[in-house]
Amino acid sequence: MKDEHFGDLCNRYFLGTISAEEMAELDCGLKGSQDLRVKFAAEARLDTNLRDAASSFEKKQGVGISKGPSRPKWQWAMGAAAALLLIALVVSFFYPERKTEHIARIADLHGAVTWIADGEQAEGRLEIGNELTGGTLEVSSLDSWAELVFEDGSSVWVSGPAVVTISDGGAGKMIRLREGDLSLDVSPQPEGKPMRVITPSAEAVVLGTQFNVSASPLSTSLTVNEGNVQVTRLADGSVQEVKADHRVIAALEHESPFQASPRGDSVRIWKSEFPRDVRQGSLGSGAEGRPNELHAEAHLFRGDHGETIDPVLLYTAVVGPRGRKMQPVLLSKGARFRIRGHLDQPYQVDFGFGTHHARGGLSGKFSVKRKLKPDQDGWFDVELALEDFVRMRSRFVESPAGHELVWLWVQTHRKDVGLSLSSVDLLSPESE
Amino acid sequence: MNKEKEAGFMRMFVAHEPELRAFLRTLLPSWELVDDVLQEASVVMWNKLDQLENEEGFVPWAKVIVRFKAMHARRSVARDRLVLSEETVALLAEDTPDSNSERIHFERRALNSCLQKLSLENRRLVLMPYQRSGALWELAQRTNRSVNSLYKLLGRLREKLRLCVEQELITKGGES
Repeated sequence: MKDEHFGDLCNRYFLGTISAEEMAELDCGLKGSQDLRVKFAAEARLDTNLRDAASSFEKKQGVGISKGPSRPKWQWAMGAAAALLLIALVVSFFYPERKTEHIARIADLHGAVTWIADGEQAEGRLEIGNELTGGTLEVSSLDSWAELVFEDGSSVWVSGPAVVTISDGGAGKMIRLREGDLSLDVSPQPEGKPMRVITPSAEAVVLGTQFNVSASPLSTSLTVNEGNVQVTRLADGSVQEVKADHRVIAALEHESPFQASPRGDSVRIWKSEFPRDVRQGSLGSGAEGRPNELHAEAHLFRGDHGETIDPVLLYTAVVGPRGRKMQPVLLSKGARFRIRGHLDQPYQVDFGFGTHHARGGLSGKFSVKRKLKPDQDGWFDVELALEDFVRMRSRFVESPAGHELVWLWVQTHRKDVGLSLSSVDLLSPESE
Repeated sequence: MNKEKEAGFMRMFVAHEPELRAFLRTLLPSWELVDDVLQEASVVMWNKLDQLENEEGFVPWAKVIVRFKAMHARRSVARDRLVLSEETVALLAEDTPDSNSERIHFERRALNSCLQKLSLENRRLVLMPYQRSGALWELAQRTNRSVNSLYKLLGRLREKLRLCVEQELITKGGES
């Protein structure tokens, strides 16, 4: 039997696509030749090592893909000690030659930001200037962010809450955004090595451009400010070229339209609509005669700039203009927010919002604190002028006027006081 | 059974598990069966540990148990699945050297290095059959390619990797 044909039969056997005739031929060849049996055993070892490599690859990619049948009997029999030993061995095999080359550095960060380098099991403390290998960045809350800058100057703003995995290998840079918002300014990439941005529902191929991505587990919105981005909807493999000042939404289910369209003229007023505009929090039905309410969700804040503090419990609800037909919402001088919701008791509440430049890229985050006193039924109704908010970083623009509203958060610290939102309105200076 | 002996067994089993899996893969037509048989065999080894005289004898002893279980499993699936004949499986088992762990270790390292030489796209493709059933079919749908053409490409990539591993072993002296 010729080597090439034998190799072909082996591939079919190990990939499970061999036919009955081919199996008979393979069996006959193996029976008659020790040389072929040695080669067959080598193919089995290759198959074994490939399977282990696949498991390692999954972990490095940060995706939870089920891996064949479980091993309950083995695990029960061997117990926890075995599992620990096995993990130790598996880790030592899977990461034998972990690269430590730096691919990016932290240019800025604020709030609850943690970094887990590939192959590491512990969260790393982060500080501005830290150099990063491949790994995963978790930005846990809305008032948190981080800016990564790759070696070639491409920058990525990550606005929380977001989970992002970065790598830069032989095939180019890859950014996997599981959820959250990114604003990217991508330097021209080497030919044949585009940057890839992958979300649960879309994959963008980028050669050099400025664009924003917002991903949830169910859909991805991508807005291009400069240049072109090729976007593939993963649900069906269809592709859209998105040019400057256009955007596209790729949903996980492929019944929704997938078509790049102009961003449209901006608007200066906005009224939240649930569930469309929910960004964080759990949606509940409103009491009789009242609209749905967005209840704040609990999460921990552990400190800034690598300084670990005792965890602080935060309760946050976030809304933001969303939806296919939604035009950009521009903030104008003199505009104000009207926020209505519920609190169980008088309490200090933090309000904040994030903005993008009109042509893309995070321009700022602004916040203000207010002691709220709800009425006897627990309802509050508060108006906050743009001028009441203070920028959270000196590098951010001084005034949010003229910038695009991305999201608005409402938050309490340490105590669950039943915070929920029933509506958020952006009112123009002329509104009464 | 004393704790020292238990720990010794665990150390040996974990150290040689890749070799036992590769051995089973030679004898059985699917990873599902390999995993099931190794589970069963590990329980038997655990129960019969007193029969093991010393650590040096672990791999040949474990392979006897694994081989017995594999032959049994092969017979039980032979009626409804394509399998190699019992005679061929027996010959494959006999041809396997007593201990292969070092070789597998070197091959694994060489394979990791060879995988890095593939494009990310090809690396994904070559690892896809181990990650999720149906993934290759989905990829074919997504990219408007036939499943057959993907399998052909997969075959070529595996062949490329096999040759690369051989070359790495020669140039880096990993051949045991």
